Amino acid sequence: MKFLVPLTGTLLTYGPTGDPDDPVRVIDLDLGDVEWHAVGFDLENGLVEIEVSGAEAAMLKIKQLLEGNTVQELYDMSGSPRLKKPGVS
Amino acid sequence: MRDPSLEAIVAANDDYRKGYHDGNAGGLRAVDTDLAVGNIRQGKTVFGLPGTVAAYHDDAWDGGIQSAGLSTVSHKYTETDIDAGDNYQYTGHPLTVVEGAVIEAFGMAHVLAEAINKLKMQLLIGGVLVAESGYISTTGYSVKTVMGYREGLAAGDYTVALEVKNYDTETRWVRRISYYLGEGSVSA
Repeated sequence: MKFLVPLTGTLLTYGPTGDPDDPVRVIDLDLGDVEWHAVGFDLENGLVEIEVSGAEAAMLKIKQLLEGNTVQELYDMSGSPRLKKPGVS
Repeated sequence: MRDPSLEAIVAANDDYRKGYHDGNAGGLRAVDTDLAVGNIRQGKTVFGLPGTVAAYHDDAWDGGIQSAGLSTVSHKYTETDIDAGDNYQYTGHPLTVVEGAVIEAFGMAHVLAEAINKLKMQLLIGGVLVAESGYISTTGYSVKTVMGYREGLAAGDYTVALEVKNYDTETRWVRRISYYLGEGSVSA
């Protein structure tokens, strides 16, 4: 199952490469007992699409978390800042 | 007298009836030029022709393996404290890739964790988090793996790193026996 997740961290280049001291990553939320890997990045909008797998209960939990909240609400819940981009202070 | 008349061996079909063919001085390679070493997989021999095509070759893929490696980033028994919400990173070798390249990587750890369902493994490529494992779900020794990739990269150097992320609200330790990173890149 695929989900869009907001990104945080510092983008150094549109290579893309992230700052080793502040990597580009999903916001600081524990997504539960699931495995995921990134399948695509939307750096303009600060989002990553992830492919998630896990037990049914864990999948339901992540679905409610990511689809039941707006991007801003997810940032607020995580306490993570928005993705910093090159040339944008 | 040819009765019935002899037939030529042709590439178009495999109909090779007894007593009906008059042969070809050029051999089967003259009959069908597709019978060539470059069309036969390495390790196989067809009508005496040893194949030269590497096993990983795919005609639809015009690139090739650009680089690959295995980094043993730690292989000794040590203990690391990880603050709440923080992570601990092990860095592999940098890969230099060309425009449009793909990097695929995996991280594997043999660890002993202090807490159940509080710690996860993460994989980063070029300072970008690309994958996360499920929880380390035992306080006994366990092996955890995480795999991910990035594609359509700009030319440059990309370092692969493996992290342990602590999702707990208090400091936790991990004891590690070994961490391995495998990295490979292919050109587009």
